[in-house]
Amino acid sequence: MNASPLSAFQSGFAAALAEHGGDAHPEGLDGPAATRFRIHRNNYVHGLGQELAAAYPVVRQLVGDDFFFAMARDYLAGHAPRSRSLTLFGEDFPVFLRHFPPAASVTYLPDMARLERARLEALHAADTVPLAPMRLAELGERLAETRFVGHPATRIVTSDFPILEIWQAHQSGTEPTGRPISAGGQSVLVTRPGLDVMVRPLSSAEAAFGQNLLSGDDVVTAVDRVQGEEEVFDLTKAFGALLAAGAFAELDATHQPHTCIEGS
Amino acid sequence: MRRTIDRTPNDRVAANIPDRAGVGLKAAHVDDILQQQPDLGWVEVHPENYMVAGGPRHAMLEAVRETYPLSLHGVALSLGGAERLDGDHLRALRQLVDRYEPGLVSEHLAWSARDGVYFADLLPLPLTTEALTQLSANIDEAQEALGRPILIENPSHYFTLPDSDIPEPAFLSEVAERTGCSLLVDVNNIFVSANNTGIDAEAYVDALPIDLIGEIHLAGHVRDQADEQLLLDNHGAAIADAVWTLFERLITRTGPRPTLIEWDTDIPAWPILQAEARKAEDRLSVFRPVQGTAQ
Repeated sequence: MNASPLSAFQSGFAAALAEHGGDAHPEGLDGPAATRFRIHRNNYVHGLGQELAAAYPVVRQLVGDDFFFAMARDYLAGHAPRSRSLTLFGEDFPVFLRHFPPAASVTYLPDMARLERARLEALHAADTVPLAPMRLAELGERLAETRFVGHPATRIVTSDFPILEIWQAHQSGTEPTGRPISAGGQSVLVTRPGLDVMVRPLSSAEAAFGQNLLSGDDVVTAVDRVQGEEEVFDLTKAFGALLAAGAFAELDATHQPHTCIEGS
Repeated sequence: MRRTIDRTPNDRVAANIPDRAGVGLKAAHVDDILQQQPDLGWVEVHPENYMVAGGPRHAMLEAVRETYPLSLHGVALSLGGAERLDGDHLRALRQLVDRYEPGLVSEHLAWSARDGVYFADLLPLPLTTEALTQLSANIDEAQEALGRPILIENPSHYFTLPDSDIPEPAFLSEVAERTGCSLLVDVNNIFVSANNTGIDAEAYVDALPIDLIGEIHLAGHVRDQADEQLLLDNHGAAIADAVWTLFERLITRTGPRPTLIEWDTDIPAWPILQAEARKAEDRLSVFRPVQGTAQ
């Protein structure tokens, strides 16, 4: 069975819109219509470029507008939006950047994109009151076997570059101040305990510990798995940082030790 | 911060959208609106921007919705597509309808997706008998899924499609007859389309079925830099005088209807947008029956 005329028309129109880098127009459009088809093409390509720019403002600053929007067109060619909401468009952009040779000279660009993506996801994640730090005090010895449910907004981004310092240097809206960027990697905890996204640095051991807990380890296991790290690990400090930032939503009741409560 | 999460729908004004001027709600204006509580009939948003789990967008919309009736104006349903509607998107839209209790829900005579790819644009379709059947079936499905009638808006056109053989006002009338939907008349889109495709804007307005018009849109446009015959519906300027005149022609026929000012690019300071809404309100007032006065 042949496609209906409407379906065939839309198929041709869509193919011309999606054609990468060309100035194709659909069959059957000629004269002014063929020329003016560019408006719809521009709405698609430029519009999605703007969405990507809104999601990755520091990546855009780091490479400049011309480079960024050329890159956005390449990204769009392989990652056309499939969701009707564009708020979270660009999920695969960090991975795309890792395999994008023209941007290879900015070595930390993919990590910066991961940090910006984490912030975007945190911003729009579900609203949940974070676990109150005092809840830990109530656990006593049971703490060792306790597991945690991560807050929906929590993300931990690890990097071999001082990614948070670079990000912060690009927040003023002006040119970076030129203050020296420290050497070495940084890990970043991204949370949203209220309506504002928070970022704070973690040591690599703290980050590993946090990731272990977020992936469902109980506290003892999470600590054990950090021991391979070279740096000295301060459990109290690590817990303090994670809890104060609102990294967790709840104690994991499905894995609670001693779930039998006296008197109930 | 948590107050917005705990609020119950009972704290809200009623959903019903009055026959007054409203504005497209922009994040840049929310602080002004919440602090000043201006005398504004209603606000409208694109539901696609609120299809996220939580965060400041919902907090903002909940706060505004307490004081103002809300209209949801969708851009992504692709009602004019030859394919089935996107079930995930319909469900997300239904969730927002249930959560925010909008007074009106509207969409476009357009398509925007094909084979799962969303083109983020209101794309034109030839107005044919086949398109009439397809669009009507899609509107039926949407209204069924949302549990309420919707409104359909006339889009801007930049060129004529060769196979179109039904004039747009007649096409919209027939769709409304078949599906029970109402019409959202975008006066700027009529003006822009008339300029770009050579139709008569006044004749278009005069051909619209007045009883089916549930909402009106007004916005600014610009002349294209490369093609000076072409007008672009960019929602980025004050409403043109000629569009105000066309609006007056329309409301002379319909009487006051909910009328929205859309300003989405080069967004001005709140007082400028508010002044545009007042201009619309002034014109609507002229056609509002005055109590106790014989017509």
